[in-house]
Amino acid sequence: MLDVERLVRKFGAVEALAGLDLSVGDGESVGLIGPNGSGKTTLFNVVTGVYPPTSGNVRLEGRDIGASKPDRIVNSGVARTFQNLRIFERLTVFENVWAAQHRRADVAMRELVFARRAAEHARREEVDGLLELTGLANRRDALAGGLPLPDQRRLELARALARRPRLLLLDEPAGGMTPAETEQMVRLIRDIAIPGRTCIVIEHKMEMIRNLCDRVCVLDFGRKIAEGAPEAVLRDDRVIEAYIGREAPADA
Amino acid sequence: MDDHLVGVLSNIGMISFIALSAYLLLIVGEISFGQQAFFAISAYASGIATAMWGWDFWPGLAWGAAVAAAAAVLVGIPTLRIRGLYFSIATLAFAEMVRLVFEVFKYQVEIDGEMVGPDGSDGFRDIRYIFENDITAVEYMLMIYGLLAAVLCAFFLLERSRLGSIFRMIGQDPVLAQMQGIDVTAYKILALGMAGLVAGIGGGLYAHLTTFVEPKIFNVMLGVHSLAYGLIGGLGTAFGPLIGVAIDIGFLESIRAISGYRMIAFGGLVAVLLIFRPRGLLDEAAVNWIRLRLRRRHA
Repeated sequence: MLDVERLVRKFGAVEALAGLDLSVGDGESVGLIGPNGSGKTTLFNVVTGVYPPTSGNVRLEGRDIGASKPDRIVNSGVARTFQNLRIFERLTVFENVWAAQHRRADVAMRELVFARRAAEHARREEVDGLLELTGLANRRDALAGGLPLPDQRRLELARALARRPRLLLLDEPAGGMTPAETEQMVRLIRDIAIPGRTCIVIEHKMEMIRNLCDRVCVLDFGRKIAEGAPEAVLRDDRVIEAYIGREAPADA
Repeated sequence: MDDHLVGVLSNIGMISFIALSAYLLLIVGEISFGQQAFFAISAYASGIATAMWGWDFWPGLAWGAAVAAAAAVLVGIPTLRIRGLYFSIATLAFAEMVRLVFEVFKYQVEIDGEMVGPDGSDGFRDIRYIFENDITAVEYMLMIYGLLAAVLCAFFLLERSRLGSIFRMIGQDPVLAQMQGIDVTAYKILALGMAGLVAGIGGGLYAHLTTFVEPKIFNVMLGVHSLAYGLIGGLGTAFGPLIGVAIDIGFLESIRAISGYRMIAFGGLVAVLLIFRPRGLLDEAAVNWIRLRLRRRHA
């Protein structure tokens, strides 16, 4: 599904990604962990074309997308959510999700102005269904900017799903949530986001990674330092070191 | 009907077009100080068509608006690559350039022993179509409002459509809009072309109402006012800019006792609103509230 080879992305002198290799198979769900600044979100930004890669290859279903514009990339089947929450604050909750359908392959150009009744009705039902699933139905007509944080996170998930992506990138989908809200989010992702598609999840909550992912990749300083089944990787010395550091040697 | 009143209402109608034009660009998140350029281009182009080429009024108006739209797209292709403040400055520079070109633009033909056509800074006189065809001031006012109603209907259809929400998405967060698969630059150019068309309709109507256009009236103050109309009236609905026009032209400019204080009152109003209602009286929250109220009543 996604193949990343020797990917480098520099910001000035800083290498946010320093030769990253990552391969994600069809239908896999992969957890991406690592300390702050290790390049996780940068990877999402490069994969979705927000930042072009400095060097290296990114292939989506075998096609090179390194130099493609973001709208082209996402229209070929990628959707994402944002760690720092991005919603259309002055559109309603319903419109935020509806908006994700505009440039979907099944919506013809002319339907941007002249909707076909039956098709549009079905799509609106689909939006309402997603709002129902994510527990946002009762806020349907409120402006999205007024929602509390957990609702905004769920709105982002609903919007990403409305694009019907084959590859879904979730950037800290439970960031800033209470344990109860996190648990609800895990259930949502497991039940409606993961089935039938490829997923990459960035998360700091290890319990979430254990629950959702087949495989974990650990990033540090823009490189992959460990990879494997969640249980094994989370016990790996290098991972523990990257996260909480190591005791200074006695002679230092 | 009182002549003064007809004149004021006609003015409100005409200026509404350029206000809607600036509003459309505010929706996509761009501040243009140059919509008066498209108003001017169409005033000249449609005037040339009816007064010099002998076209009928409607084809002349359509031609003027089409030229304005084409000019807007041509300007948009290079300038929309630059964002924010730089786009605003580029539109201002373009509009001043257009005005200065009309200061030296001479293109005259002899009709019935008289020279007709743009004559540089002396302006373009005798765009007399509506007088030669015995259209009264009231009839012309009704034509203006008929067109305005049609354009408003188009705006309301747009606001309900996916295209309208694409414009709003781009205005709120272009990166997020891109992540919904939207080619931001292409849609901005489309918006600029549509805004040019709408300003152009106003410009053509203006030229035929006054029968006389001169370059200096298309100065930057016209552009600044048309921006302010949307910011006063509100960016949540196309009614917003019309409210702005009605306050400025209908109230401040037209009532003699206060017209001397127009600019002071208008500037003060803009300043106060920018602090208390930065997106105008009918902003998105107000419009959503009204919409929900109406729906509940119908349900």
